Amino acid sequence: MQQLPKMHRWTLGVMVAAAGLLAGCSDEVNPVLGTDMAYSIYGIFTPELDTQWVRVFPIEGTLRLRDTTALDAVVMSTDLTTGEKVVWRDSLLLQPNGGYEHAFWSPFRAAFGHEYRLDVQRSDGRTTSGQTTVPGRLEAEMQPFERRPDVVLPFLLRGTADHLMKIEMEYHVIYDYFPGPPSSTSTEKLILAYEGTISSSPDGWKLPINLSADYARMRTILASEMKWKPTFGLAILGVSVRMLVASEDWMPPGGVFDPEVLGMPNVMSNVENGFGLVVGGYRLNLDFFPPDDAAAAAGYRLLSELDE
Amino acid sequence: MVVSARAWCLLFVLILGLTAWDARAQNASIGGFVTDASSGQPLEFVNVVFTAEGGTARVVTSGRDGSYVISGITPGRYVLNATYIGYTAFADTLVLAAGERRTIDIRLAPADRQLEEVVVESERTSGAARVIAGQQTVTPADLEMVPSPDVSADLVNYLTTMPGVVTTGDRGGQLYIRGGEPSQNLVLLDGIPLYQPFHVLGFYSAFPAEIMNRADIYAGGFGSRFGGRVSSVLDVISRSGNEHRFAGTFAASPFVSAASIEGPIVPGRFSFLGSIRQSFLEEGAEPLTGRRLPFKFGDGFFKIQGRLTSRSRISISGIKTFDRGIIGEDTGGVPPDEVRWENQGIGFRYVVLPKILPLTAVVNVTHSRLTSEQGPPGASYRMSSVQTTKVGIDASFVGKRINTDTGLTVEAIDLDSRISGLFQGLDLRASEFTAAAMYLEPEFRVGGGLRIRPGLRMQFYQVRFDPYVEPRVRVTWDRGMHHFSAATGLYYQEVVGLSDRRDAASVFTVWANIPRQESRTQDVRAGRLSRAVHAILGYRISPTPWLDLSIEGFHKEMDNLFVGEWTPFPRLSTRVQPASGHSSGFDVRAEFRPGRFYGFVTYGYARTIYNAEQEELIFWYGEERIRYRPAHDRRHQVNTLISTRLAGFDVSARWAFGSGLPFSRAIGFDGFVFLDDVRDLSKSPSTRRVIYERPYNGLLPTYHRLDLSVDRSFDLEPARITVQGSIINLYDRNNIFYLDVFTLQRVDQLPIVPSFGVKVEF
Repeated sequence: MQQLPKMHRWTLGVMVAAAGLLAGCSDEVNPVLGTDMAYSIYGIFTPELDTQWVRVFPIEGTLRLRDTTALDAVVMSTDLTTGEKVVWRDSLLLQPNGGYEHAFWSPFRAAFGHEYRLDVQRSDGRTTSGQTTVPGRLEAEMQPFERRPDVVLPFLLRGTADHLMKIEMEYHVIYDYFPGPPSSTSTEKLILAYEGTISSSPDGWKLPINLSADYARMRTILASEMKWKPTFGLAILGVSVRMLVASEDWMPPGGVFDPEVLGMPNVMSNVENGFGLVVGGYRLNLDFFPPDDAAAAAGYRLLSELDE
Repeated sequence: MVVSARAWCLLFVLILGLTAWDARAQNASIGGFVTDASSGQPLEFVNVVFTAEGGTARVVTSGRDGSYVISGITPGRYVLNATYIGYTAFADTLVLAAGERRTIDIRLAPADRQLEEVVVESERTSGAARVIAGQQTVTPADLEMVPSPDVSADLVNYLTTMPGVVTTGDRGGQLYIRGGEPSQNLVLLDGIPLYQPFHVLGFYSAFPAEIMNRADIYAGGFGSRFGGRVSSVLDVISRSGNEHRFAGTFAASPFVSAASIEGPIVPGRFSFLGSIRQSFLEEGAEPLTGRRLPFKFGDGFFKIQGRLTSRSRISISGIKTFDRGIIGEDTGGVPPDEVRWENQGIGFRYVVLPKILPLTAVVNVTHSRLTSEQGPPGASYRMSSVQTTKVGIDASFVGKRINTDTGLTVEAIDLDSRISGLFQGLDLRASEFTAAAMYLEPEFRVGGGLRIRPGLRMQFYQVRFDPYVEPRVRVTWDRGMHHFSAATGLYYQEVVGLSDRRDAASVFTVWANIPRQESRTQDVRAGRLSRAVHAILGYRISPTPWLDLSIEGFHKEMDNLFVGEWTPFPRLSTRVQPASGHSSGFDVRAEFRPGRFYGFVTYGYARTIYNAEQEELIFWYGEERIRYRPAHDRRHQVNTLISTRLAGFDVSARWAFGSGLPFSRAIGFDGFVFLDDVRDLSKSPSTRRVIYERPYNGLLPTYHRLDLSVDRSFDLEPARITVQGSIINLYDRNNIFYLDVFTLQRVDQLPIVPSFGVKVEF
């Protein structure tokens, strides 16, 4: 057999040697760093419900569907205001993807203004915890209306609460079609966003309900649907104010609830040794009827006129 | 850069005027076409020397179609010589009268190898170390030396040996060149743009060696003739069929079978060339690899070429490719979908040497279309198509001191897509628009081996009058054995390819106009075009006729890019975010050609960094912008190849090494419940979640692979039979292809793959 020239032998030898050397280099990859943290927990302490729930997810090394195997976790809450401790019970939730998730529950109603701590402990002692304070009860007090020159009906919400969010007004109104036969009235519920209108004061929160501006907004909405007759106007059947009264830690960055933003574990999280969010809050609903003089000053038809 | 068109047009006219004046001062001229006497194949880069009595010589090089023009000839007696590697020299004596336009076609006869004609070093145009300001020329002979699982060679296998060319694996058909994305590469076959020319299995492309004449790869710094892309150009020129006799090949291997045929339509005047390939992976290759290869692909090519008159040539080329495959694997997460794509293209090319002017003019009319789908066969839920019709006129003026290339192109582009939520928040409607471009690129032969080639390209998108102006410069300086080169330029891209690059298996690309999301921003979301600035500086030395050494540094600045947003949620959709980036590095190459031995060693270093501007970053990391290494940032690459003949066998071995690619490591996996209101959490939906650390903070293992091929040819008149055996991944390295970003399960590239093939040529 023809012998390789020297350069050929040298080059081939280097290539094979290098290949052999590198063949021993590891081809392993460790895609999961791992963590000492045990759980991600999501819970809301609320006086609205007579049962409190928390979702518990173990932090694992794979993305797998869980089965019905019991979760290695003991969930306990402590009412730091009273010292009461409660052990919560496990419940399995079947998900649409066929996997099971764990939701722990306890049959009690969270108290206004109480501070709660939630601990989820693993058998090895690792504990994930969250702590929050349920906002205090707010009592609404209607104040005399003002002309600014808009007709504003102020409400004072007395009590202690860190955040009021997702504020909206629902007007139940009577309107008439345009053009349409006389007295072809109908009713509709219109929801108006009221974010950014509330302000805090030493006595509580001030919510100015601008009846004049709301009238103009509703008129615009209804007119676009041929539901505004100038000779009829609008009459109020009732008004509801709804808002979320939230604990201090329940505040998204920028004030916007966006799952794409909040999905990152370190965003809006108050959990120790884990991820997630434990918050307190409740929905506040106020149903009221504006005084006739305020409604009339803002341009609304009075129900008494319609009865005539 | 939107600049007053008036100033640039004035400069255009000035340079054209200078060239015309240079041309106007000329008397006689000669021109014609240089061809291979045995086949009629046009020969490019032939040195045509026109020597006057008294010794003054003019040297020109034949162009792509074999055309040459020598102008500015005073009446008299001359000797015309033509030399080219592998061919017997041509010589002729002629007398030219004042104002005469003589047509002389030069037919070069292949040289007898036994006479061992001296290889004129300056005539070598290809080679692993022969890089000129980012440009490298590749010929079929170069392709034959790279081991592959097929007896027939393919361009893509050679491309992957080049420093600065990164593939994410042996499937998917995605090439990243010096930091640029696949959709930023302009790929042309005879001027026909192909949007996805690389087959689903990474050893194959639309360019088998049988149809190739040569390929020019511009890794950056390309001249003004090319536009519409910001990263690189791959310009493939097909060869012509044999004008004198019929010939053909048939090749079979477990991976692919192929056939080609060529011959005269009108002997000595018109010829045809046809090629077809079809994969048989499921039937033939799966038993060899030991794993399922759910891929099917094929391609077909034809070309008709011929001589219309003594001063004109015409050719028509057509190509069609198809691919389908499931690139990822079911790793327990979301099962991967099938992707399918099909390229179709046809081009008409008319080359003429007008008698009235000493120039070469080329008219190109092309039409091409890419259709991509994702989803079950017959029920795709994602589709993207891009269709381009282009008419261009190019002219090359030849003067005593200044050569000038100029051209005008008008393009109609048609984009359509149905992406079923793949990219959220984008409004990708069907759109049709027209683009036009003009370019001017004079070459100044300053003297002392220095050539300066400034260029100007003006790109008009959507019939706006103020063009995007793209100045470029290429400089070469040859000083004996020392060769210096440099290039710089500005590049824009209107039609972009959007892909979810979070893992390498995501190859479905949506071709779209720059999407407009929000006009108040001052970035790509306001419709600003993707933009890049290139800078290249290189040096090459040829200390001996058999050794070339080169080193080349590069830098690319990229703006107005779209990259996929990060999200912790495992789903097959994403939003895009604006980004900018830069890539810089250098290549060192050594090429050896002593006797029958051939080898090269190349090392490439490249560093690519992106800056992303996703709105959520400030909440996630406390920064408005984040710097990261994109998934194709391979820092170090080494390629070695040797090829020689032993005892009648042609032996080739190739070893490739690449440092690990970045990927996003997970801390763990959990669930997420969206708490935006007081709810009964026993009824609230949840989402599985990946807890990532900072994006692309991890590194995949290094990649390396040794391939070997041995082949032997037998002459059995009238045929020649070649038998090849090869082994891909000789030491069975587990090279990772990708990590599923949601399940973080790995998918590996092909293991050790023995293969064999037979090729019959007649």
